[in-house]
Amino acid sequence: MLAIKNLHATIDQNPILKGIDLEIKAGQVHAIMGPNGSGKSTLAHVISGRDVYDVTQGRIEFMDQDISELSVQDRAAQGIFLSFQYPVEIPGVKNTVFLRAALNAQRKARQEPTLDTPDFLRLVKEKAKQVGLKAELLQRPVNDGFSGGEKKRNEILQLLVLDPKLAILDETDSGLDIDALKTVADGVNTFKGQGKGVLLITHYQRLLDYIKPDVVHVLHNGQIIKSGDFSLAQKLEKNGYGWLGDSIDTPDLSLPTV
Amino acid sequence: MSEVIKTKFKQADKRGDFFDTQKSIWFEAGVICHNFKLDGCYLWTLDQVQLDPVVGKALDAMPSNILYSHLEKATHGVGLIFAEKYSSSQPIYILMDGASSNRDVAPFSLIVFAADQAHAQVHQVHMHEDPSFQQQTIVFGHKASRIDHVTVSKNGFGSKFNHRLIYHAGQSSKINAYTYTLSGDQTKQDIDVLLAGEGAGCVLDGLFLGFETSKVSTKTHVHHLKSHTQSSETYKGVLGDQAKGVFKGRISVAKNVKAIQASQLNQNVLLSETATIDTSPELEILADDVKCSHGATVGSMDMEQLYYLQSRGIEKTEAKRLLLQGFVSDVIPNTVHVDFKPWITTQIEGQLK
Repeated sequence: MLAIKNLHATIDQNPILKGIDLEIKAGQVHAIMGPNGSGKSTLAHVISGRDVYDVTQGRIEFMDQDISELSVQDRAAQGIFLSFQYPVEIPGVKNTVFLRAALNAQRKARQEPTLDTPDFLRLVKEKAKQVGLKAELLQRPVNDGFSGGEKKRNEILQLLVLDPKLAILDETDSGLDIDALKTVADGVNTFKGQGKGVLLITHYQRLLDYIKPDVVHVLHNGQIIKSGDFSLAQKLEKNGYGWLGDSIDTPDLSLPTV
Repeated sequence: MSEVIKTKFKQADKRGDFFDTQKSIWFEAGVICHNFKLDGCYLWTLDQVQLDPVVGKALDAMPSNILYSHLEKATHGVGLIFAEKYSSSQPIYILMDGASSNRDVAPFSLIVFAADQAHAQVHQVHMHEDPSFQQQTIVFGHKASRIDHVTVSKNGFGSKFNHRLIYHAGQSSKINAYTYTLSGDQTKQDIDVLLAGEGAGCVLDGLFLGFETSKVSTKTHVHHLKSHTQSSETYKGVLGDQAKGVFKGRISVAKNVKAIQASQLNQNVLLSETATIDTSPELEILADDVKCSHGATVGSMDMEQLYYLQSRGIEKTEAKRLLLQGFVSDVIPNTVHVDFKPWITTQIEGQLK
């Protein structure tokens, strides 16, 4: 589904990603862990296509197609969704207006029929209930004045409504209490399953207790220095990142068989 | 020169749009026409206005440096007088369009007068196509009156519009004034608000849009002349292409008045490198017991917001349009009549496309 090959990316000519190789197959959940500043969020935004980053080497393939030249919105229409670590507030633009514009823009780009108002509202209300987002927040401006938890629920609502092929969740667990975390995890678990891919970016193992990853990668200084199965996450939780110190110079890029 | 005022009930109008179905005043071949019954709301000539013992006197009492003897100069105009305790669920619409002003481009005077405890709603719409049009509008609220006044300027791209607006709020009265400048080659609005009676208040809000090479200037001056007066002012500007905008907001608080609250905010979005805005607040406060806030912002489109929308699949131009709509969404408040809201919203959105 997603194949990243030797990806190098810079921002303002500062190298952030220094040769990332990553392959996510349909049906898989991958987790990327790593200390602050290791490049986790950058990787998420580079896959999403944010133009403040320059891809200087390597390529990103999605559904066997090189997407390096595609715009942000085209990547979204192809089925890539990024749940933001800090969801953006958009005063004055109603949540439902935004969601509908997004859904219909994607459907149009894929040459599918757009949804009419009753069908759209039925879909959104059902999904909002599922992620525990208060119905009144659908009528409010996007994320404007939402609590941290409400913003994250709103991201998962968008995930379920837009129903992409690949979901990248950037620190979706941060700032959530345990109930919110469970609801969010339930949402993601509903989403994954057949044919979907999930890339979880997280600091802590906490989220991984609810969404079990097939593969765990450790990102350090712009490179994946270790990959393993769920036990790697448990080991990181127990021992921190320090024990990986020696492997920084000899990155282990081999993917485990799952 | 006195005016001929014609009443035309149920007139089949060539405009064939929203205003046909509303109580309105318009101009036909230099003649002022209207299509509503005059129950408690009267159309007067300027002569009648000046000679009236109550209205004429009230206008005379306004500070002469602001009311620069314009009434003597005005040759053309109309008074819209709302009687004591007047109230109606419907506003009066005033239409000023190309056809009406082709014949006579002399300064036009509009006087809106609300007597004690009247609630007047006046929505005036300018759609000039002629090269230059000047108007002076005086909106006078007597004791405990309330006036909701909306001015929409949607003029042709060859049209220069000069609008002088004077609001006078008497004791315990409230004025809600909104100006929407949507198009035109040059649009100048000079606005004075006189909070002239104790307990008077005003909301002075507006939106100005400028595209291509248009020039939009809004100058406001709120005078707190008496104690316990309140003013709140929010202007938003959107400028693209080579448009030039000016916003000057001035607040004066007179000596020896107390318990004053004043706020002013001007927020602008520039859509191109070549669009400009010159914004400045000016405060002139001669009293102590004053709560006053002011602020001005100038920014371009928020890239973070744009990226967020695009990351959900929305095309860049559509994303920009959504963000601009969001930016201007709160300038259409509830005091704009519910029937008029869709019209003005459509006009604004049409300009932002």
